[in-house]
Amino acid sequence: MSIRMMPISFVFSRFPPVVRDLASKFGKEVALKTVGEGTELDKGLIEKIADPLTHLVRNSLDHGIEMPEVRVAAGKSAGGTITLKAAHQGGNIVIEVADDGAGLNRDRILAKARERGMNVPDTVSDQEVWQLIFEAGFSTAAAVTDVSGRGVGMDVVKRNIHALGGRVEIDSAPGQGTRISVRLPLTLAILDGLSVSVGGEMFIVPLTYIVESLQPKEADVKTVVGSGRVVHVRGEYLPVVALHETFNLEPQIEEVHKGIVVILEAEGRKTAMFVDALVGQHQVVIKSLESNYRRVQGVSGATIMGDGKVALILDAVAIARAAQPQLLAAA
Amino acid sequence: MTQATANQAAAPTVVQAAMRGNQEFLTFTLGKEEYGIEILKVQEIRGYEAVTRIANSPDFIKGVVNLRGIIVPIVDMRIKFNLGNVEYNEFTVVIILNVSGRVVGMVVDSVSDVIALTGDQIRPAPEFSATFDTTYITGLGTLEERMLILIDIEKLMSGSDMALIDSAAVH
Repeated sequence: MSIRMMPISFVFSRFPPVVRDLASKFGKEVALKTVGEGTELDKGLIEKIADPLTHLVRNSLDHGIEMPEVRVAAGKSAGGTITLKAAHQGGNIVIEVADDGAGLNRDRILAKARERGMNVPDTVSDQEVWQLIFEAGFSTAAAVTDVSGRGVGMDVVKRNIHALGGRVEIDSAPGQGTRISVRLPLTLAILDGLSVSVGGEMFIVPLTYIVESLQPKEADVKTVVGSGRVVHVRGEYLPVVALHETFNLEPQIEEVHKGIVVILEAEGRKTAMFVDALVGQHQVVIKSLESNYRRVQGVSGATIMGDGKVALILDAVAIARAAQPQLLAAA
Repeated sequence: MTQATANQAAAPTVVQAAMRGNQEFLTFTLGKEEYGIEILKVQEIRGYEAVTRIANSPDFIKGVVNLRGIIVPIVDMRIKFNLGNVEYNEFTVVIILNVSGRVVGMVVDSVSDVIALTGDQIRPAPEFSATFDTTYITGLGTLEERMLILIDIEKLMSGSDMALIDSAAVH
């Protein structure tokens, strides 16, 4: 396993020239500080994280750090600092790109969002406002430069990081700077999963997508327009996706309230996935189905269980998407 | 269960055979028909074991198995060609093939032997009506009273109707 792990300095080491070049181009004074270069992560991740990180660093430099005279006028040192920091936190690696620049401008982001026809109330939390910058085509830069301002980028960054099973968080304070944290799983080769059984087959659901699992009461399972089923969980009506229907299996349990629903959250939407039973929680090694076979709808890979049998790993995003047409038809 | 038909063991004899203008084939039966495939494409022969089914795949794709840590799809040629009795027991044989850089398992009725055919023992395949695809049949081999249908297993397995490879990857 250790051969797959590489220190993040492989990525960090490419930034000093980037920062130097861009800083001189903009006439800004920027120092780059790196912390935790020795933090190790999966080789596959290293390759895929380099582009999103580059984008974040360029963003910080262009939008975050102010011109020297503006900084001095604000009572700060003329030179700004961008800090790249990597650390292990539980089973994750957290990579931070922080700057001591102007911070995100809440009013400007809100104004821009309304200009784009988004319905945003004034009372939204800062966190929610910051998440708006990940929307496609969203840019508050006054002028378009060859570095940024085109409004493509942050949404791609977020999508790429999601594809790696990670999350992006933003902290920002006006006048003090912005910190963007990217949280990634340590390795792409191992996945924490919940095994569920349907019609005698075993499937692995990635734990990161699971909100909770429960057995609904009969009264909480309702139908919409006769066929679309929803389950009422904590005040929300969630569409039900029966896994045996997705995979054409003979279920052991037909009625939702006699089985288990696993609530998945993918792409910001919740879906109740109906299965026969929960089997257990495992750490599984991901094996590719595509190396010898092909892509299978609803399945992201396979793994080998303790007894030598193959179990398929569900693609929670595809399962959640499968629920949406039903929901639309029902609405 | 695994019989020694490793490529390495077969390689020298095949080289010698090639020098004499011979080709070696692994022969297997499907129903009453006897087929031959190029021996170098065969990785190993093993028994049938329980597969993990794959949803929404054609019925001749039985599913996937764990072959020493790699995930291998299993195709049942008896269903694909509509030949023989489709039943699975301890005598069911799976030929593990190495084609186009992929590993694929193929269920057949039985494996007969490895034979060498000289060029004059191989006849071109006759033209059939267009009702079924015969482009993967490379010829008909004769060995005493037996007729062997020689197939280009690589072409067959990578064909689009086998649904083993993403169509995007084929083009």
